[in-house]
Amino acid sequence: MARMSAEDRLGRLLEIIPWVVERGGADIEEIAARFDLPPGMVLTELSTAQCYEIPPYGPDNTLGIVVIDNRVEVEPGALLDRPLRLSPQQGFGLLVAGRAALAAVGDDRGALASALAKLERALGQRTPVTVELERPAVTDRVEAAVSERERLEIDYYAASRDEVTARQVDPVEVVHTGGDWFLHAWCHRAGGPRTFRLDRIEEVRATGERFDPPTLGADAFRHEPGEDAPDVVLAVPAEARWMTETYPVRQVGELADGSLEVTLGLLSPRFLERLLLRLGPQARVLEPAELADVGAKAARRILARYD
Amino acid sequence: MPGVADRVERLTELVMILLDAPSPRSFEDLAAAGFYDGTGESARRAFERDKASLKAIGAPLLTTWEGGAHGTARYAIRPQDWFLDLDLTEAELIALHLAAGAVRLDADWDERALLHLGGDMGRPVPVIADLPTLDALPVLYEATQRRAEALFSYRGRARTVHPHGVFYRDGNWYLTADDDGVRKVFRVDRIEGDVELGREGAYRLVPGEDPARAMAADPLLIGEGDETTGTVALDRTAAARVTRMAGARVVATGDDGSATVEVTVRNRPAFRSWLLGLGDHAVVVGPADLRHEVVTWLRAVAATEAA
Repeated sequence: MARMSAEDRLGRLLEIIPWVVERGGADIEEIAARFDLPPGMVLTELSTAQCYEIPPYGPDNTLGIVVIDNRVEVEPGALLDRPLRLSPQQGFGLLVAGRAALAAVGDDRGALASALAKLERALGQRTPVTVELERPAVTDRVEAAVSERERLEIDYYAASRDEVTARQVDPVEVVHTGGDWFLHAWCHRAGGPRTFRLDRIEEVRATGERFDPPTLGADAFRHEPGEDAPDVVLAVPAEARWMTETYPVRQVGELADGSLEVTLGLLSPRFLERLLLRLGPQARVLEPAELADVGAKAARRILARYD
Repeated sequence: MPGVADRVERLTELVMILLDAPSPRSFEDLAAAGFYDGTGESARRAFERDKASLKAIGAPLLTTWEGGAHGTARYAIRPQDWFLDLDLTEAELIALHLAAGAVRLDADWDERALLHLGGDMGRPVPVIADLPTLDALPVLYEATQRRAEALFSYRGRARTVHPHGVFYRDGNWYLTADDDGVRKVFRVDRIEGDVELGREGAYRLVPGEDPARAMAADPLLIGEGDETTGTVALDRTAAARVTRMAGARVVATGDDGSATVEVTVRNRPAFRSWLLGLGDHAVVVGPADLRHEVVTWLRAVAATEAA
């Protein structure tokens, strides 16, 4: 722990001691793995801490740590044998994880809910943190298919092509990320792994078939345009900076007139159309030149519906 | 004890003696016990540094004054202030571990909390939700715990607010706070720079108040504008998705799958953005002023020339 500050070393020691007490002793390697520290450092730190003591000196005034070979034990009843209260970061983090898990499963009963109630009481607050993960209507049905390995047929609105298509999918997992719920599935129409936004699934039908889980890499499912998606460069008025928080932008710069130069991956022509329509007349495509009139064309096409 | 070279040892032993003391200790007591080399200026500075370190690791150092505010300061750490007493059942502890495993935060705050609580979840569980974290969040949370003022810059202006809680919705974290007595909602990722805590006990929280209720869930209703009812005609590509929206009221359906819906609008830019996100598949039917606004916007976009 040579490169850790004295505060960090003390903080870590105060976490390790009750953890070892709770387990009735632990090996150096176990402690190192759990606290993400090199075993040599753990051994040095705990061996040194064996000798810490306060007046009147004697076994009752030590930390009660005993290190023999590779094994660490802490005598019960020693000072600091109990876990310390949570820091605001730790309390907040655990509360958020718990709240999110409750919202994700849509259940506010059971052990998790009662654990969170106790945690909140200990933290001295009632309901200052809310996590909303609203589950689209199809979520239960799709989750059941994941656990049953049930092949489904879905009607899905593909924003990139602006159409609703039916396709058979083998559902692998349901995840919430970036504020939306997604289904990761093997898509038989595309012949590969695909990501579907649950709120864009319009219908779910059973096929009566089961599937064997496909073997996929950890990053098989994409949520953003891949590196192969071409760049499109836009000039965007400064007040539309929100778009840099909403879309996966690759680069943001500032132009001489104060507007923004934003580079993003071109998901599809439809995506660019919608974006330009929303950004309004002050936004324009700088590159590539052949897309410069995409927004104007789309506006004219929609205006025709108002005649 | 004199000549203690290792600061971790001195800090640890300070914790031990302050926790163990039958009565609070003064700086002079600690110096006499060998913690400091006399009571001179450099020893005092070392003691001040140590106090700061103990506070940094969350040690609740209680200071009492013997003989009034100008008397002798005495220090203690009361076990009831520092040790965690959640009294979780085994099922509750497992539930918290499962929640922390199933919800992935950007920071390891929840994992660190679980090191205090002990136990484990047995085997890894699949991640069901990803949540972003921001350094400001635990500080704002601590503000609600202490009912302390929070000081930060937002939209280029220095603010001193009374935080009433944070909430997560649609991929973003928000702070609900009173700013000059006016209830407001701030996007936490748009807070500029650090959040600092000001005066503690500065205000009262409303028990059981949900911070998320301060902002309408429907983006069309966020804002101070006059309320109007927009009528929107949808073709079959958009109808299924839009009619499932919480804020949409279906007033007509066509045999071809089309539909007409009414939506309540308080935020006209948000309405326009939502509508244009539906591309060719939606047309504003009324009222005339809302329709006129959209047509004017589209005409302006249609008139943009290639750059």
